[in-house]
Amino acid sequence: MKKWDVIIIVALIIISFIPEGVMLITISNKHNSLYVEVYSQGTLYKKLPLKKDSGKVSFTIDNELGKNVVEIDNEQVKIIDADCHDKICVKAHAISKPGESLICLPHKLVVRIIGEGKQETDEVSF
Amino acid sequence: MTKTRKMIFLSLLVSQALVLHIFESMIPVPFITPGAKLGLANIITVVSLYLFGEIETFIVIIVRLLLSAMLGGSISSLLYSIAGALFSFIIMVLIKRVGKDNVSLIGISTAGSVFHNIGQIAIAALIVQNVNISLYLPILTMSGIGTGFFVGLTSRYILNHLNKINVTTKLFDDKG
Repeated sequence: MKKWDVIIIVALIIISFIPEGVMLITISNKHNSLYVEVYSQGTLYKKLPLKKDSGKVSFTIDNELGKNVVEIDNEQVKIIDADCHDKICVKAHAISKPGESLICLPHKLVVRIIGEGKQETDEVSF
Repeated sequence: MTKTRKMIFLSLLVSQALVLHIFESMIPVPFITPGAKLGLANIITVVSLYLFGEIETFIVIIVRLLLSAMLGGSISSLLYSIAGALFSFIIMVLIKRVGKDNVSLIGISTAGSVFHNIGQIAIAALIVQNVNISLYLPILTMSGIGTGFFVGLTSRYILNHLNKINVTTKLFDDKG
């Protein structure tokens, strides 16, 4: 273990937090209303409003890559079922804030929450 | 004679990396984090970076990737591993060139394993067209630093033993 090794490790830790920092700066939490966007294979599949007292809504995204069941419960979104082998999207926590997303890599599925009237921040900031 | 000996040594390295790669996929990963793995094949990359040069290491990496894809991988997993391997190779070469004697095997292998993750995340972000996946990076970096540290230690033991039996001097004697 030499001096440079420590420097390298510290630098690596700092680099790994860059996306987090960018995200914090670009996303403001003040939105009037929120939307849930579901992207399948890169294209917008569904856009639903996310508000209180809307009750439980669940729908299924079924295509040649596989099946995912997304559930919107009041202000929280969760993938409750999937037929991929690792089920990471099912294990992930429910999302409720703008900028958060649920991702299922094998099925190329992205579920994310956006705020109304705001620009898509992440593409710009990257 | 030199060429044959070198070729055999390189193919030995490739086969060792392959065995480590396959062995690694049999070990269940104790984290929920997808993409976090031990990176045992990186041991061979680091060893060959020190025993040979950059070009030879590149050959070892590419042959290992192609063979591991043929021995039970898919096209998409090949895509991920190529991106990761290239990122980590480039950063390791850079650090070795810039750092020279200031940097040890541990620093190089740690940077290599972290940049392996960065490369894979970049490809994943391209495939799902969502940059938010990069928020995963800190978790992967932590595990990458841990595994990279031990990969570096292991490589140092291997290199010490290889130096004891004069593998390198024999190789370089024949070269000269």
